[in-house]
Amino acid sequence: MKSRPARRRPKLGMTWLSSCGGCEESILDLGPDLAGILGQVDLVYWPIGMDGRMEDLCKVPDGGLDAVLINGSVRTEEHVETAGLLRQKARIVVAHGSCAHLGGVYGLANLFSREAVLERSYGEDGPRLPRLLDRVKALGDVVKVDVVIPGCPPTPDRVREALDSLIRGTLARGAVLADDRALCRTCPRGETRRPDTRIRRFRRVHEATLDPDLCFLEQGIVCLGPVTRGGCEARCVRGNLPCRGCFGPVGEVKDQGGGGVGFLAALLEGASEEELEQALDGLADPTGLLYRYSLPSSLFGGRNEGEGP
Amino acid sequence: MCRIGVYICECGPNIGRTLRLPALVQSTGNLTGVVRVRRVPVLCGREGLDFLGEEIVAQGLDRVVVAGCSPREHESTFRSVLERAGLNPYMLQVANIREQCEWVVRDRDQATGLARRLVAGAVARVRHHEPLLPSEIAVSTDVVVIGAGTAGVRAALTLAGKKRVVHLVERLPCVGGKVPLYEDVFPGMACAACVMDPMLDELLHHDGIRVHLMSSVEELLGFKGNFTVRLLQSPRYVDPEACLGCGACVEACPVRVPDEWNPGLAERRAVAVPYPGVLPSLAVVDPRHCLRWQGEDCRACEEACPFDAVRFEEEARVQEIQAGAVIVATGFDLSDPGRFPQYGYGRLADVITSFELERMLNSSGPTGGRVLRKDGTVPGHAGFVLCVGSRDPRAAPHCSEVCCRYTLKFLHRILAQGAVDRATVFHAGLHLPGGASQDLYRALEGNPSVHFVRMGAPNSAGILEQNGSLAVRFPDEEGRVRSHLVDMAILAPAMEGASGNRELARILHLETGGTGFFDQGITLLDRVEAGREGVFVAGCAAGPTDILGAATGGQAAAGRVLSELVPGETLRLEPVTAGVDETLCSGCAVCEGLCPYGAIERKDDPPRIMVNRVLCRGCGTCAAACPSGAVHCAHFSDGQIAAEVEAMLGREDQGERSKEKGSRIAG
Repeated sequence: MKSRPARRRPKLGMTWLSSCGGCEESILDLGPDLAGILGQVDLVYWPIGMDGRMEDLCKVPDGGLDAVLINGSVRTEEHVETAGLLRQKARIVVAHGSCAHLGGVYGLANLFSREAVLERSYGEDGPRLPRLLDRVKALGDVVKVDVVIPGCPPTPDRVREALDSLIRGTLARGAVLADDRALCRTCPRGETRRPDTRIRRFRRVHEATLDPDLCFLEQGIVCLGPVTRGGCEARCVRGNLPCRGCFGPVGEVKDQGGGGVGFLAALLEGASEEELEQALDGLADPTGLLYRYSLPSSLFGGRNEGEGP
Repeated sequence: MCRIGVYICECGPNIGRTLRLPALVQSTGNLTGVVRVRRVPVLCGREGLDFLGEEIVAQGLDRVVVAGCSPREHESTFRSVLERAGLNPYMLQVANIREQCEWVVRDRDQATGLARRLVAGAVARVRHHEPLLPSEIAVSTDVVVIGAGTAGVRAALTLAGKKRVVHLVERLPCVGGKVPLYEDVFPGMACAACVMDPMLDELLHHDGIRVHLMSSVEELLGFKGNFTVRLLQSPRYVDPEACLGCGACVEACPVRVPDEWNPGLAERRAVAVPYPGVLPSLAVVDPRHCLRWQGEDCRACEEACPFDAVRFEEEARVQEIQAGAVIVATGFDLSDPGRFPQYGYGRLADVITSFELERMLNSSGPTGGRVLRKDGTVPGHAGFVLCVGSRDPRAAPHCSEVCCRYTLKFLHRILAQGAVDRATVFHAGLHLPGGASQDLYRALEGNPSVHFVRMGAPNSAGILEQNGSLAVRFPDEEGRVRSHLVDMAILAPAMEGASGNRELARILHLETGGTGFFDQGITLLDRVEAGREGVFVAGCAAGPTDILGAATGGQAAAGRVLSELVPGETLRLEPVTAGVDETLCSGCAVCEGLCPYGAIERKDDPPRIMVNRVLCRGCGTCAAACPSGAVHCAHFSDGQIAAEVEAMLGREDQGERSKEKGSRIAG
């Protein structure tokens, strides 16, 4: 990275692709700090917050933005174009939130064909939309991503960390702004996990009176803490809800849901096939549970055969 | 860049009839990293092995793929060739084109295509191999023997005779098992105490044998030559150094409970010397009945003891022992005849078990050697009912081996001492192997006081009360119901594995059969195999046998240990073990509970796990279950497995030359 005057305010762009708006909220979640941060950056492009047109963006010289935060999944051809254009204009592309990072909740649409999705959503007389891709993709599937802020939505600390390092000029490529290890390491209930515990029947959250201090797995509740990157301050767990995996898999693990299947299978107990079947009865919608945020970047949902941007 | 040599073994006439070897050679030559492909008639023969060694040196190979038989057959053979040729033995990969192609696929093209895939997978994998170094540890030749009955004691003495350190672990407060409780033993009618006491005395005074009484094995970690055994010793509450077994404490104890050593015959106190002549002769306090554990401040025994030997403050003790082998000699229990209500056991006063009769006949037993009915009178007519539970598929399918013979022993004893006038034996065929048993039988033939009556089937009798006597009823061989009146009925219950066997099996990772015996590893030529390396089973723990059989089993197990574990030898630890990347481990402990070898320990601060490489056997369970990808198994890394799978599926690996024309893997 070229050194430049420390006082220059970094030029920043932010946009959303297929997004629920939660990641935009994660910017507003900075609260009083937001004003200070906005005062230290030059916000060039942010269509949801200010007037911003593609033709204006086109006029920015290539590499003219120091960084761009992109949230949302890549669902349409327009998203591919937008992502490509921003990649061209920005020196650092940040995948902002689970959708950009892993494909996100929208990625569960990959269980169905594009036609089935359109038919179900709009019936025969759908609106005129940019053409949908065959599959939902993560941002990294269509452009090179330099930095990841994981989370659905990312926690304010993670967003602040990203913007602070941008302002200080220390935002390093290749970083995932979260822990290197799984959530269990920082989980307040981590020590209550006993290695010999086996699960005879999974229970869903609404079926149980949840012990606020005991590891969820000890209670027979699926918690994806073991297969999910830490760094969220265990917010869900502190709110007495199990981890659902929004920070994505740890390090070299390619398939978060596969890892989930692996470790949950390891905990299951049953003397017969039937007992194991019963144990699994409590596991409603396994794909939606274990791949909730990561289906497009998983081993079987992440291949984009025959689909060009 | 790798220099891989691929050697395709024709396995004599075994490989190449279906497979098209020239095509395989050609496609293999196009794989990335392959510098040499050769067909060899028999690679595992002396010439083949020499050839392979020479090739490695002459071609400057750094990795080798052998395509031939199953790696189970010759992987270690070829690894040693690599080692002798100066390569790390783990730079080898075997593609099994015999069992997986030649022998199972009929179509020549299909078989050849499959072989190409297997070889491509092996080549892709071997490129990712890394040299691994085995380590060595000194083998432990100490032995843990569980159970201090006939088998265990014989094993311990045999081992100690060759200077092995033996830890003899016994659940009870005394040694000797069941035999010292008998008066005499078949077939020679020898005095039981005369047979056992000298042996037990030698045992208790042997420098090389450490006897752990009132102890049980709680955990067994490790493997042959390197076990760690955790023992839990319950407190005796009596100092064995100070106690003489004088019994002063027993006299003083106010508690009376049924005596397990003399079931149905006597009471004992809460502090007791188990039975007369017990070794070691020491008192033991039973906290289940002692008033101190019921909240009372009784000190009667403590005050009565002339040697200040009572120690109420004693606590359970845990200790870990290193040993190279374990011998399981836990013996048997008699099954409870109350399980079959038709015999009236527990309901009819004079229906007793053979063990109760043994105690009555014992001259130092509760009746001083006299056979008495519950009302104190002498029975005129004793009935012996055999096969109570035995040889019945619904109960114990096995023959309990000894009941017929000990019944003959009883007959000789009670007739000799005039304990009864008459005796009738109800049997379903007598099992009397060996000359001495036949002598014992012949000596009773023609004796007008003894009758042998044949029942139609084992475990088919019933006993009813009839006018103050007992009526033994059973269908005979023609199916007619017969009835005989006796004054006392002695049941011969089926032998079953000792009551703790199932729990012990769990701890030792062994299997027990339906009747609780450790008989799962036994073959025609081996009665001490337990189904796990370094663990042996001896005596009745392996199934019903007589005293001689138990003693022989103990010696046989000891013999196996002596031949397999030799002082000064080392154990080579396989380098294929799991390891943990601490920068990725979150300490979630999913792996910890899965490890079959207890090789994973959890550490705090930061929370993480560690793999004990001496205990790890490289099974890979932890690596497969780790949700963080932090545990990896040497020689089975994700990279190696993925490379192999992808190449088999026909995907190109990085830098693959196979994109060139004609080199694509045939489908």
